[in-house]
Amino acid sequence: MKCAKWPAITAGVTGLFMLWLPLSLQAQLVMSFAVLGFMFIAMSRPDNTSFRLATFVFAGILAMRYAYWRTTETLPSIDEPLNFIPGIVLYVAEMYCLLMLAVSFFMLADPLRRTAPKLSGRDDLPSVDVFIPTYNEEPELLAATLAAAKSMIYPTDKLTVYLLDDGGTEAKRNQADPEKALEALRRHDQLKALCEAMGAIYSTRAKNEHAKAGNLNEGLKVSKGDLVVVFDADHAPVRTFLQETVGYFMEDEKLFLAQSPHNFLNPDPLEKNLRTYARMPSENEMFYSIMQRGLDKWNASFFCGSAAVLRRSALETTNGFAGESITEDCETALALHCNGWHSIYIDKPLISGLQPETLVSFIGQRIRWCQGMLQILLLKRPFMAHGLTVPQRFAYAGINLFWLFPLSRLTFMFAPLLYIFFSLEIYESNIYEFASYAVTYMVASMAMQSYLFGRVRWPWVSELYEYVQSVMLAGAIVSVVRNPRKPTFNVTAKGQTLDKSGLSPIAGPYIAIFLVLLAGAVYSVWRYMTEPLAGDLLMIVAGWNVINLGLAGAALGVVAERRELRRNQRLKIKRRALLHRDGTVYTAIIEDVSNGGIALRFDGQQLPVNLNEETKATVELRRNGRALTFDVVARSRRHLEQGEVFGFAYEERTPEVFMAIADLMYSEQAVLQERMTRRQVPIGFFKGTARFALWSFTETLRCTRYALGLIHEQPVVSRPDAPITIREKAGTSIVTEFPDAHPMFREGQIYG
Amino acid sequence: MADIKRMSLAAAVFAASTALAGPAAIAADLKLFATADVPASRQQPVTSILPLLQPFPGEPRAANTRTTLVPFEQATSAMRLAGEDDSAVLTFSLTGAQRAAGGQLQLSYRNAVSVLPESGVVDVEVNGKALGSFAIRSPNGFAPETVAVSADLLREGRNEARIRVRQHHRVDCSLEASYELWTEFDPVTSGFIAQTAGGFRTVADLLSVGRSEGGVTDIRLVMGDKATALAANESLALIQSLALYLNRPDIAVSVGSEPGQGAGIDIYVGSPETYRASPAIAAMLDNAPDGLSVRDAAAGRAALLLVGTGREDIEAKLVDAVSGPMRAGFDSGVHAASFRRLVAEPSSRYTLKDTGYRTQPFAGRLSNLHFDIEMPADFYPAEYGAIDFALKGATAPGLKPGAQLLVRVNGNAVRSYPFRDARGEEFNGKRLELPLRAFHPGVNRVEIIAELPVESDAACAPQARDDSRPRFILLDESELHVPALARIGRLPDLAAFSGSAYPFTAGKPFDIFLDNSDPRTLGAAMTMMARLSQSARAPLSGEITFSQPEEGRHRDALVISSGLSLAALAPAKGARVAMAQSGPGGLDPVTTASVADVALATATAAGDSRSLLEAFHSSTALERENLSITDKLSDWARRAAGRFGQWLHYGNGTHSADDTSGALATLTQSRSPLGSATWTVVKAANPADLEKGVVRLTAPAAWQALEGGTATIGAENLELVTHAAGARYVYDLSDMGFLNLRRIVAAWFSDNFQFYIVLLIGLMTGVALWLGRIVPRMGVRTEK
Repeated sequence: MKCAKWPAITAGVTGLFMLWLPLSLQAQLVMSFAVLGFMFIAMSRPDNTSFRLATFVFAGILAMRYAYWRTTETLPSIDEPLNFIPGIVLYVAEMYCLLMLAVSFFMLADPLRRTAPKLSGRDDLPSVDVFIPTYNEEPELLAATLAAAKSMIYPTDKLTVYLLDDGGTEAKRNQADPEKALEALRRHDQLKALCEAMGAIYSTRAKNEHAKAGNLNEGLKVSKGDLVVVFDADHAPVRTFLQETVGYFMEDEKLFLAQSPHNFLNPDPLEKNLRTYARMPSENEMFYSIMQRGLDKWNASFFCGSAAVLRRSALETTNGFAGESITEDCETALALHCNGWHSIYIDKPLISGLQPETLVSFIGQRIRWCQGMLQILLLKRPFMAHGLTVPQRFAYAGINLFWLFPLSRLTFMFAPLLYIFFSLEIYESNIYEFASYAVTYMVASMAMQSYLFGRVRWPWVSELYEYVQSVMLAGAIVSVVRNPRKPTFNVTAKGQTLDKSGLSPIAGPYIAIFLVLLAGAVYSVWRYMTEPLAGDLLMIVAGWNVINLGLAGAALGVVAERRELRRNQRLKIKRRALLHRDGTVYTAIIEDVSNGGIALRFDGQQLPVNLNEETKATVELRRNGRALTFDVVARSRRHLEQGEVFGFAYEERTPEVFMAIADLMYSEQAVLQERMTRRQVPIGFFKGTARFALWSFTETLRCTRYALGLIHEQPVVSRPDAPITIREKAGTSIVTEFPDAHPMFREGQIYG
Repeated sequence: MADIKRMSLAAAVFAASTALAGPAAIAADLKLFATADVPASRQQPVTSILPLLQPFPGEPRAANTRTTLVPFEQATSAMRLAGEDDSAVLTFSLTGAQRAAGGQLQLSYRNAVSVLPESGVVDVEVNGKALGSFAIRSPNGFAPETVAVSADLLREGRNEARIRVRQHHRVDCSLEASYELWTEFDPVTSGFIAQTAGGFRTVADLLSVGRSEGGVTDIRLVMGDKATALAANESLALIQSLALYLNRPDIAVSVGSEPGQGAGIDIYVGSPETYRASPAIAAMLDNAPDGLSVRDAAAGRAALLLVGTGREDIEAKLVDAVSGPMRAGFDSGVHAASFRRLVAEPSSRYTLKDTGYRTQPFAGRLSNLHFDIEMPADFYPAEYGAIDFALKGATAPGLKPGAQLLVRVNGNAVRSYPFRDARGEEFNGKRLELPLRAFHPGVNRVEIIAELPVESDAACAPQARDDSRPRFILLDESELHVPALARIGRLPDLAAFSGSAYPFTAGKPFDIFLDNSDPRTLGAAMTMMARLSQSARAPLSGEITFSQPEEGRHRDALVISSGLSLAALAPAKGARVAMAQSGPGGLDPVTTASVADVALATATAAGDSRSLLEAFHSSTALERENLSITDKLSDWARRAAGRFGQWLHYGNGTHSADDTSGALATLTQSRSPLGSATWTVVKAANPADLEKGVVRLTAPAAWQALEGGTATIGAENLELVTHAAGARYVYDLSDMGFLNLRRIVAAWFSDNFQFYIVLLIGLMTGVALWLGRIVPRMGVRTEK
């Protein structure tokens, strides 16, 4: 292959020389069509690396031609500062996007798909400590996670589960406010009891220093296992989690991290408010299913804070988890990569967790990610970091730079208005040039988006996510650039409910921007009708503004929040069970399960259920020939495709019931996999665009309705979940009962 | 040896005028336009006719023996002023005595019928001082107006008269109507009437020589009945030097044994050879001093004598004269800045002031500023760059939508900029890119047109027009930025030939082959050489030979053929002559409603089969209303595809038209049969046709319109038709710098983009395949 190196490099240099030649429009147009044709041919075999790289190269040709033209032909004259300054801002925003395109081509050159190595003999297995850091999450949530963690298949003597509680630290328990101190004390005692009952170790520390990283480091001090597993409080693992991950550590002694994707049981605000959760792939699947696999190729997949296995000896070389930035996960991975340790990424959903439900908490989470990543960029300078390989430098610089997207997105949103309202010409081009350079580049770019991410991202949805975040993140970026050490760890709120639909408290700016863009659209039409010479430039700009208006309209749907009454997220499963009632045994199929209850279907049997009375029964499951039983109370009746389904709530929730819930929900990895795979179907550009256009329209109307207070909703009375009940192991006396209604637990907080 | 001699002459003429005077002198001359500014407050109101204006005395003053008419040096084309507001700068040369006596400026003019007499006015200015104005009211024929010029306004040597014409349409207020407005001056009867008797005693006196009845500057080379190559070569340098010295674009050289008739200059070159040739010439030369001298000949005619002992001596004497008495004439003439003419150097900036333009508020509907840019002869026009026009100026409030600035280059609209803001706009360097493809080597015409309609134009009440309220001002600080150019000489290119005498420039020796020694043939050759030396701004090193062109010689050649069968002159194999379609072809991205196709000096050759087919289709097409929708759609699609195809070929879809029969004379440039040199061939059926054809070819209008590989002068209408060059070959590549090569590659790839695409895709596919092999081996290995 060496013989091909120099000819190829010569060809590449010659090609670059040719790409950066000033050419006629005719040459550019014909070349663009030819290259697009070749690109589409190369796209036909996505699994072949040569074809894949050819696709990138052809798309790169058009991108570089665009960049060359944009740089040499379209910038306003410096003699006209009113045009020049915004013109340069827009230019920089576009060049940033091109840079990100180049980085993503590099990252995605050859994504990996790994097969887990078989675990060898029991005695050789490393010991594993599971850390579940918590701050103020509900005990129910923690109980479910603890139960799932305890249920993981691994030799019992080699698996220890730690609940690392930062909500019950000495500092919290002894704080000046007596009420809060009492709450912390109660929490400390309750969680300690819960851990004892579930066979986990409760651990807390003296002071809340360095937030989550400090908490994890405290965990390292009190534990001694070879491997450390981190689960956020809401991240319940499947039983096979360790089987899928530990083997890699036995193969590679320099491996410090095995990261698995974060998989969610509930929709994020966009999915909830646009009602896409059931059909559209989740936002983070693009990052996990595509980007992390690509990074894995370059030994640059990084720690995402949870659902990962780390090697203790590696962490010890960097004094544990890093805590200078507020994204300790990426920072820790960077430090270990700099020390020559390896990481891998496992593309299988192995945990399931929760996303922030409200827009406010969603934005809060993104502000933390954005600021943390930029902190790393500014404070750690990954591109220059000592010890990284060249691909790792590109990868880290790329993933950190990505978080500047709010600046470019907002620039694209507002740039057309400068021409529409003030006739500023910040992009000098006529319609022929625009068609030959910009349109062909955009076609290539959209085709690439569909080629690379079509499976996990519908058209225009990336732009919508970007825009929704940008409005609120721009200020955060300015703040972190001005003072990189200022941002502090801000815990993301999850598990919230919304009693009523209505506008989000931060809807104001979105509505204002929409109205400005709408005014721009109306004014551009008016100008087009009244100015005979307005011509092509106005047409390009007005079209661009209409796309922005569509984005802003769809975003109005995101800020018009639908109510969320569900406390517990259901997971669809299929499992046989027996129902005992009044001495009769009924065969049933469990259709779905949550932390609050289960849904059962009885084929061909009449179950005498009176929903007005408390119809009680006992459910019996079997696992490896062992019976698991729990008591339930009938609550509802639904008709599904499969037939009539009855909803039952758990009568009480003991640790044993949580173990049964974990068994139901997390015994099969395939359930999570199927949920993800089912939605990963490309929708196609035109269908996706049509759907997006429809959202722009309908969601604007819905937001208007909310803004005018035209919401017709019936209040729904929901019965509380059964409290957590912990019994002494030998006897029957109740040691602790967790009151569900305590205000502190209403809006649980967890790390995420 | 002779070659070296001639090169030294060229160098001497050039050095005498430019190197000695240098760029500083040129720059000083450029300032001439700047200092000539007259503050607006001191300008005479356009409506007042000053008492300075004298009634026309009846007889032309030139007939009076005590006075002499010194004509303007410019050709007819420079004396036609068109549009609503146009200017011309006309020069005339005075001796010390003429200057001291003062005199009158005589302007014989006529105007278009559509000019409204009440508001048409001509402003006259001499050497930067306003003299007055007169009304335009001579639609029926040339009428002279005279303006007295006092001696203190004049200077010895060249003087400059600036004429500004403002005129409006009688009845039509549309933008198009302003193209119907013109006022022109007669080159024969216009000029400066000096109050002294004429007479030619010094070389400087030659500058005031009058025009012949045909309206050209007549030069007669007097030599024996039988012209010899030696005699011709002895005279060639003098004729070129004289053409440069006179700096008149309308020189016609004839050859004969007798002196010429009417106004003009007779040339006698004395050497033992010419003494023997004719006793009359010998008599003329016998009592002449050694070297260059001037004396009176017949009425209005001068005799220019150059006496030497042999060819070398003659040339040495000429060098003495050129660097002596003639030097001032070169400095103020051929090497001074010309009005409305820029000689563009790559990577330089020019202001409109450099073209002689003056900032003046414009109150009409359509302002049309035009000037010429001379591009280097080895400039490759393509898309690798653009000449940026940085617009400085302002529009007045109240312009109607549709107002725009339009730039045309060589008759094609290349850029438009709409004046969108009806409240008035100020431009401080607004950049308009004029693509280099619109230009060609040699002289290019640039027009900056401002279309400025206002609401009141719709009513069109010419009497109610308000000239005190301008609509537009274009500042003379507006700039043209010429970028770095791809420099590669590509031939054939008649535009470079006429614009810069390419490829005969830079003192390069070349042959001039005449197939016979007929005086008219020789005269045609001399006329051509006079014109070429003016284009080159230096004498050329041609060597006349009376023979058929020699294939074996590796020197470039100018071939003048009149009648003998010259089979050898057929173009080299493969160099097909192709015909260009006239006018702006293809998808012209800039459109204007109001600018009609400017009548080009070139006309289309008719009769090719494609145009016949098109004519057939259009005459047999169904009426549009009878067409079905599908037919209309397919018709539209066909037209669109046709237009697109034409655009793709840069609007010059060439098709074969080798037929140059029926032409009076043809001018062709092609590779010599052995391919080692370039032959530029002027050919006619007989010496009379040749003479007529060359005078027509070298006349300013045709000369400036030359382009492509072949040009013909029609036998019947004397119209010029140019034919695009089929395939060009590289003649010269002197700048081998990386940046120049890059621009050349870019230009060539633009012209031949199929190669670009194939090569680029091929190279990049290679890179992709290589990446496809190595990437799986990099990082975590994935190769199977």
